[in-house]
Amino acid sequence: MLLAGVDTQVFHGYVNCGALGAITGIGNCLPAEVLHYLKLCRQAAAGDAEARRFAKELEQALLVLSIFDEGPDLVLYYKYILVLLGDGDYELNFNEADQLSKSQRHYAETQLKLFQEWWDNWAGKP
Amino acid sequence: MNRDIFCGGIPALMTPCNADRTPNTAALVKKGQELIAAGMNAVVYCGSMGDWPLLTDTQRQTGVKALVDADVPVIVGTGAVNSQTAIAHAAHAQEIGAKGLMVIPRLLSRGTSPAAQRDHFAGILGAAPDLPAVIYNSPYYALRPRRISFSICAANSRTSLASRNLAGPRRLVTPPSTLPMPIMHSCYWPAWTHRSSTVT
Repeated sequence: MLLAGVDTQVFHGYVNCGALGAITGIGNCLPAEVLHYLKLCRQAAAGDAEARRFAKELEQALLVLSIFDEGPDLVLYYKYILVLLGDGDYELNFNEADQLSKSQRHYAETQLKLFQEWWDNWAGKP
Repeated sequence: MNRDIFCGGIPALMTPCNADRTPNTAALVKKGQELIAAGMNAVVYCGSMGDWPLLTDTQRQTGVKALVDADVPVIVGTGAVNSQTAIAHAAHAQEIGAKGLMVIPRLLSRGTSPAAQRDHFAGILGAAPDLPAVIYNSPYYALRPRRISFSICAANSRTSLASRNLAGPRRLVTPPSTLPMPIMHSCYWPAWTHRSSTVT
């Protein structure tokens, strides 16, 4: 049995490699969107052509937010995104010095907003 | 052994932090419950997303137990510098009713020794014989599974396929031939491969 171990590889894992699950970082922040993505990937893996197209579109739209899962600042990014989404429990890190830079924060804000606006306009959302 | 725990969406929980830099266990549980209510199948705690290297073993186990007590299905991360500590986390997970383990290699000491890795995995899995386990292979552990031949996680590392240019899996799963089979209840390769293999 195979699981996707990083957010950037979910489509590839499900569709090309037979993965049945995904351990996710961004799914902490955008659970509904990530669950829809997993559903589309599952359907794509069964040959559903429309689901495959939508899954690729969602993968692409999520790419920057997913790539945070590959890097050393993943916790800083995903905690910050939760804060941006209104969850004040995630403002602090265990080491006081562990903080995103100003430009990293700006990048996260911009990319989250872009994704949210795209999602609102996207034909494939549930 | 029920492997359904590894299907579907599994967020790796982060540890919320109080003003005094201790874990906010109530907020951790709240998030776990929210995510399960949203449709996630289980949560991982405490892996790298949970900042395990920054927490004490007691803090980690407190979080795991609080999640289990709140009926959140938990896959327990056993990452630790010392194999004996990892084994203790595995035993604790089974004892309190967690649903699975997420196991990583031995780090920092004898990490490149196949024998050391075999014993490490065998010890952890043997300490929780009733729990299914996922072997998590990350480039951050700086191990080359193929080179050191710890065959149970010889699938692709996250590194090899985390590049933006995915031509496809670059390595194949190696048959799990070097592990003590009786205590390997199940293995899950969290990376990517054309073949999946299950040890039963």
